[in-house]
Amino acid sequence: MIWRIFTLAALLLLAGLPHSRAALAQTGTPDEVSGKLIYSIAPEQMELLLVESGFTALQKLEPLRWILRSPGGYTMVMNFVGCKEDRCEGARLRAVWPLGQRDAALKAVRFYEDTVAIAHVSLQPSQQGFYLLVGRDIWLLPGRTLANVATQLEQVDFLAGTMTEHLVKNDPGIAEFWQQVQAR
Amino acid sequence: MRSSIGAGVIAVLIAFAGPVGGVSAQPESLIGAKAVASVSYDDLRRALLEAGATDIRDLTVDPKIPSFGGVHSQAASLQGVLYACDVVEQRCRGVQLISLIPATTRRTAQIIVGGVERTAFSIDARVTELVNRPDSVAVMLSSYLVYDYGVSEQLLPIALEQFRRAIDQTKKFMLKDDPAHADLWAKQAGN
Repeated sequence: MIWRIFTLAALLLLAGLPHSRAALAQTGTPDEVSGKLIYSIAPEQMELLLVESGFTALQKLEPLRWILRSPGGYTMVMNFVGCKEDRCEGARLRAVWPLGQRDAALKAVRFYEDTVAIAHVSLQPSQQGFYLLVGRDIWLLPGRTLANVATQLEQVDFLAGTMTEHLVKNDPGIAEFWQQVQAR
Repeated sequence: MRSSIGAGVIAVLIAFAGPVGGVSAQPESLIGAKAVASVSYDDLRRALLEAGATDIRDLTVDPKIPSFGGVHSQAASLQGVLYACDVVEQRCRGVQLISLIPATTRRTAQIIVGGVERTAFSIDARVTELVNRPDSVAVMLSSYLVYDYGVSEQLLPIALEQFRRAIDQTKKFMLKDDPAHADLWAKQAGN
C-alpha cells in the first residue's frame, strides 16, 4: 500500500515534469514566446526538427509514416495528418511496447493513464494480446512555434522513459518478455 | 530497459494508421493571432463560458492544479484543469480539457472508447468510474494543450470547439449503440 501511495505521488508530479525537462534544451524560458507561429509543417522541416531534437530515422514506411529512434532509445512511429500538397497540419507520435496478456502490466498501464494527464495512452489488441501505444498528437493548425513542437517531441521521449520504468517496476518479468518478443 | 522492436511491434506500427478526424483547415482566419506561452485562470473560465458550458464552478482541490468546470450538455461535463502554474501570476503552461459522459455498461463504454481512439486526433479516451457512483461507468474524453515557448492565443477556444464537437459526436455514437443512454442521461441530469 505504501509503495502504491509513493508511486501515485511520483506520477502526479509527472504532469508538470516534462515542461521542466524540455526547458533545458531551449533558449529562453518556456513561459516566454520563442520564435514565430507556424500553422503547418513540411515533412522535411519536421525531419530537421527531429534530428535537432536527437531523434534518428529508422525507416520511412511511407512518405508520411516513419519509424524513429528517440533520444532515449525508444522506438516510435510518426504519422503525419491533414496533409495538403507538401505541408501537414499535425503529426501523431507514439512509442510502442508489446504487453501480451500480462495482467500486472495492463494494470500498471491503467494506473499510468489515470495519473499522467499529458500522455495519450491506448491499448491495441492483437493475436498475441495487447500492444501499448504512448505519445502525443501535435496539432499545428491553431499556430505553434517550432520550439513548442520541439518541446512536445521531447515530452514524448520523456513519457516513453517514465512508462518503461513504471512497467518494469510493476511487472519485473516484463523485460525478459520483451527480449523474448524481440528474439521471435 | 529500453523498448525493443521485434517483428510483432513492426506489424503494429504498420497497421497503426494516423487518423485525421478533428483536424480542420481554416488557416486564413488564424494567421496574425497573438502568440502566448501561458494561459490565465480567467482565460480558461472565459473560454468555458464562450464554449457554452453552464453552471461553471471552481473545482480546484490542489491550489497548484487549478480547475474549473461545468455542464456541457445533458449529463456530460466539461472541465479544464491547469498544470505547470505560477499561482501568484495565475498563469499556467498546460491545460487539460476533460469531459465525462455516463455509459449504460462497461462494454458499451469500451466500444466507444476504441472508436474515439481510432478516429479522433488530439483527443484521448478511456473508460472510468464516476466518483460518486461507484457502480456506474463513463466515457472520459480528454485533450492536453501544451503552451511552452508559444502557441496562438486562439489555441484554447479552437481546441474547446473541437472538443465540444467530439463530445457531441461521442454522445451520438453512444445513443446509436444503446438507445438506453437517453434514459440514463435524463435521469442523471435530473439528479
